[in-house]
Amino acid sequence: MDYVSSVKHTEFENRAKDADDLLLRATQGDRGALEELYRMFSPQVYAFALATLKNVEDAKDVLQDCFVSLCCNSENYQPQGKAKSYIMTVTNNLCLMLLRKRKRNADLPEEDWMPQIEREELTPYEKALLRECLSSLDDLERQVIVLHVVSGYKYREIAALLHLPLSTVLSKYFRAQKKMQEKFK
Amino acid sequence: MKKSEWKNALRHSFTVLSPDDFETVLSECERKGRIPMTENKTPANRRKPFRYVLLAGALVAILVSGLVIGNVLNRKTDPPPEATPAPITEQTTEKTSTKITPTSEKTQETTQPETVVPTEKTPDAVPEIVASVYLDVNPGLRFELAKDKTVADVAATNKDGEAFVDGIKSDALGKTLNDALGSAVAQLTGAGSISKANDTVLLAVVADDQAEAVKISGSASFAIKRSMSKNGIYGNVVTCSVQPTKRVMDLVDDYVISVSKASFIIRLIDFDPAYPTERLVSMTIDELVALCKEWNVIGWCDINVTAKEALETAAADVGISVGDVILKYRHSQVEVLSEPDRNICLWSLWVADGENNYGYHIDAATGEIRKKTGPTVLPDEQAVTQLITERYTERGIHVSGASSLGDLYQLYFMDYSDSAEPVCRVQIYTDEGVYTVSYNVVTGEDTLLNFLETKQAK
Repeated sequence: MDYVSSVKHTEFENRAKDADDLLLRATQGDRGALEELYRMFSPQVYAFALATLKNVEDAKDVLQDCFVSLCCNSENYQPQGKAKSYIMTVTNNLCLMLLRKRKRNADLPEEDWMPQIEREELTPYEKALLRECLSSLDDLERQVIVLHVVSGYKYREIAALLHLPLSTVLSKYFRAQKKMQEKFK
Repeated sequence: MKKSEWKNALRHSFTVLSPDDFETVLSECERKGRIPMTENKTPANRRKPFRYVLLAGALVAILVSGLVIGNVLNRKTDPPPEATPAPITEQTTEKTSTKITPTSEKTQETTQPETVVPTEKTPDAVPEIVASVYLDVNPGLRFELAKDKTVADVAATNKDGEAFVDGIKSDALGKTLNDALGSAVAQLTGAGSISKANDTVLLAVVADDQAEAVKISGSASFAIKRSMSKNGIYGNVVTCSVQPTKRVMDLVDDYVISVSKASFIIRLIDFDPAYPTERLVSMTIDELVALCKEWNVIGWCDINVTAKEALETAAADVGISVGDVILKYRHSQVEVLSEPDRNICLWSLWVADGENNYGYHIDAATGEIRKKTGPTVLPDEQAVTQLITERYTERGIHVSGASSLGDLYQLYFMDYSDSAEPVCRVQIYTDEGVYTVSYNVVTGEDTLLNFLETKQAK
């Protein structure tokens, strides 16, 4: 292993250990740890929930439920440097439960939820990107893109999280990427 | 704009969109008694020092109001939280339908999580794809293999591939990989993409099961060579195992090339970082291989030994002259083993001296024999056919005829594991259809490979 990759590897390990430590401390009632954990992972959790549910309010619910669940139900979590995977698994489970119970697969009309993502802070290009990501990609493509691009998940991690073969993840990613690239050349 | 910039923009967009509802989360955790009112001093705490005064006040309000309501409702309190791991925790309908809001609604009763094991996958139907096979001769194509080993989809991996993908896809869908590859190679040859001047095909298989990937790669390599030779081209198939690492995938993303070609190019970039990546990307596989030879790339396509020299080495090892060697595989091939610790290039030869069959892996850089299989006694073609006919008759199958599989009979399949043994194939004809049977020369076991019903056979 060369110097650069070993440094990167160490950084990655440290960050994983940090997340582990924060999660453990949060379960022990450390609000500071819970806040840091929230700051670190809430964009990823929210992005994945929004990509899965295509509903802003539901995604917010999942974001809240996820961190409450992490704080209240993770006493048995064994720190193995996999806090990120653990958090996304919780998110995925919450999304699936919501979809199952409400019997809807984010088929809300676009005009109902699209204005809710129109933020002033976003540039027109970013708004267009979001719109494209949320409306043109199919459910799996969207999840894979968000997990890889927004959450920084590796393909193998995505495959494990979504219970899909690696090949499917790759092909979904390629397709999604192609669609996005064609639209935003 | 760089192709990957949209990713950064998308990442930023989602980050902006993400709400800051930490207060709500915190108050819910406090309500459940998981976060005590006393502060633990951490850097995060110091970011908003006065907020916790408000929170503490809110918590007191909760406790007071909770006490009042608790008295009214005969001390109906929350049960203690369960210590179940979150990934297998499902919250009840009441919980998920109760929107958590800051302090004002904290006195609402919510039921505690119940433990279930989620077994559902994402809602839309996902074809079970077990492997992706990348074929690259410059038009780049990806074949997706379903669980039943048929082709579930074909996609172009680069711009040149897009011109062919529709025609190849319509032929390939539902077929076995080998048939699909055969047909694809025929089309690419017809269009001039594979020619005598451009006769190297890059093949890569990505699958979760590495052993399966090697198996598919071997079989696909054979199918491609066979199809090429049918079209009068006796080229090479360069196979390599690829890992979709970040570097590889970034190259794929940025230049829209196949995973296999990207892996190939990364080896060359590592060898000479100053060489322009764009130029490597624009090269055909043949040109890349030529560059490897020119650069004498150590550890990958370091080919100092020609196919003829490899054959001479094998013949000398068997103890016969090259003229007496029967090449069991009409054309020797270069096999690239590119596992992280073993990036070597090998000539893979199957030779026979008339009585015995031998398999060789000869290091293309040094000429050293890396692996030898055999000698295996060549079976008598007619005797094997007769034996299989008798066995099938004993099994109650009315055999109307049998034959060895001509050219296939000449081919001895050798896996890279030590346990692999040579087989030959026989076809048994019955009224119901045609059985294709593989006969293991070493163990004498026969295996039914395929049964084609009469209707299909016709």
